[in-house]
Amino acid sequence: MAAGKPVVMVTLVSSDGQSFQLLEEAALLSAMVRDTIQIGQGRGPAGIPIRNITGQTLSMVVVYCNKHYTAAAAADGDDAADEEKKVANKKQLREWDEQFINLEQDKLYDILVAANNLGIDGLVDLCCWRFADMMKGKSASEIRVKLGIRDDFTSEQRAQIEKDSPWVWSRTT
Amino acid sequence: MEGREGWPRCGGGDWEEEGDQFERLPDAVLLDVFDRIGDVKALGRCALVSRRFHALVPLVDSVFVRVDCVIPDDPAPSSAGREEAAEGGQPTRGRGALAHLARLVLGSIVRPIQALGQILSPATATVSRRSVVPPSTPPPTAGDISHHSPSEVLRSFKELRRLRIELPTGELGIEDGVLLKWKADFGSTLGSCVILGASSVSSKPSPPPATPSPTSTDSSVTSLDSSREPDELVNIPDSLYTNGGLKLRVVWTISSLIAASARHYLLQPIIADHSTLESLDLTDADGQGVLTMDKRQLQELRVRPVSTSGNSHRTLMPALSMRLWYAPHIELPGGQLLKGATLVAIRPSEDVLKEGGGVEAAGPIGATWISDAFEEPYRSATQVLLKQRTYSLEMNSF
Repeated sequence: MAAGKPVVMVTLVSSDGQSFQLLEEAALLSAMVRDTIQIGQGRGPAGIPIRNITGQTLSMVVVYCNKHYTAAAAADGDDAADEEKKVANKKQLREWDEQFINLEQDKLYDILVAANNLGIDGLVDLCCWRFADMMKGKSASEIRVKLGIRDDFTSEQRAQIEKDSPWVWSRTT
Repeated sequence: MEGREGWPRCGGGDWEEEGDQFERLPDAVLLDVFDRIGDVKALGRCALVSRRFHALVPLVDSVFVRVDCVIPDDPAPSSAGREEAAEGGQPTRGRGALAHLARLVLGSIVRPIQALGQILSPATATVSRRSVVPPSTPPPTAGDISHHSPSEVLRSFKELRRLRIELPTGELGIEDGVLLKWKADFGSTLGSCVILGASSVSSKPSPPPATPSPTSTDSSVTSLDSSREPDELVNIPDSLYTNGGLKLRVVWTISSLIAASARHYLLQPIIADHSTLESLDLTDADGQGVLTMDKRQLQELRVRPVSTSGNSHRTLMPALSMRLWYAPHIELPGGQLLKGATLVAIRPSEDVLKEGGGVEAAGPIGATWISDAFEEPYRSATQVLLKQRTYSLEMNSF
């Protein structure tokens, strides 16, 4: 982004009517916002309505977008900078991400659903890593309890799986 | 066998949601989560969570298999066992000696593996009544392969694109304190191989050369930041030829190549089972060897099958061109000291001839294939070694 470029802000409006103003370029991390602006909408005072995402969740998403936009802009600014600095900045951003996503499960669901609907790839990725970490090293029943999932296998299906992939059953379920 | 339905798919939406938040996630996103789990055992447990999980897990594109035990090959001690090979000197014309060594080595420090063993350790296999393998299971490389071989376990995964398999240990039985690492890539046969070795690694740089060095060249420490003039380059000391040092390095090289080609051979059934595969790594928990195959190489193997070396369980090595670099001492960034550090870069002679420019000129991953073969601190060691004088060797197909 050139220095002379005017600062453009956009407003995102959550399903419960809260408005969030942010730099358009930060909001463009979302494919959904990108599409909306491309067809010439969303720049007006009414902003872009974000359906199905509450203000509480959207505020988190905005924090993520701002942080990642700022980091990317800073990296752009010093592309002649040494490799070491770039690596350090990347590491810093990763640590920030880890802190950011260290959330209760309910919030994590909300953010993943929101990131997916908004088409923010980096945030979807981050949430997926977090969920994957939660499942690793757990038995099936522990995963069910942890994530609140119901065991919906019929005994017939269980027998079938047992037959087809015995290796799966070598650990307690 | 392509359309074999291992696990019954369940239709969408016929389970009642009772606060099951995962219901809100589309399949594609849930699959993204599974793709980041990697470990095949963890994925197996996920598959037992619910019908939806069970239907999605086999569709992941990225899996990591940690092999708990391997079935060792049991080569009859070769009659070449006592053969004298590679008398010092004349390393560049050592074709004959190298061929002898190949036989010698087979019976000594390499423990070739015959099968990729099982991924579940025996302690967890409490369900003995299920140990009868359905007769439909194709026997991969050997008749005595375990029931839970990676091939079998992986068969459930239909969309695999990235696969990494880790062996419990490296195959090379090296002595304590010796460093030996290799990295090789394969298509139908060897593409390239880089080997880094050192006759000893001391973790603490004890007060410099405490051990009396026989020759003056041996005691010169090649430190990382020293930018030496070409004239100052350390020659391979004569002692290397006479004290068996060079022979040892040739043994390392051949052993590494044998280990690599045995690993490559074992991968064939897995590659045949997974036509979607785009990248395949076979590593070991010791960090000794890394075998990689990329998309192009996997495709090459599917089109042009492997040639076997004699009646052994390994892929035939083509005629090879090698470069060897040597430094008596290298100090690593972490304070480790490598003694007798050796770097060997290997490519098929045919490719080198075709491309011109020598062994190190162009590898499958560009000019950095040698310097980037290993991670720090060994990357630094590699870079120091690359500044030394190089020695060329040729080796016949074996």
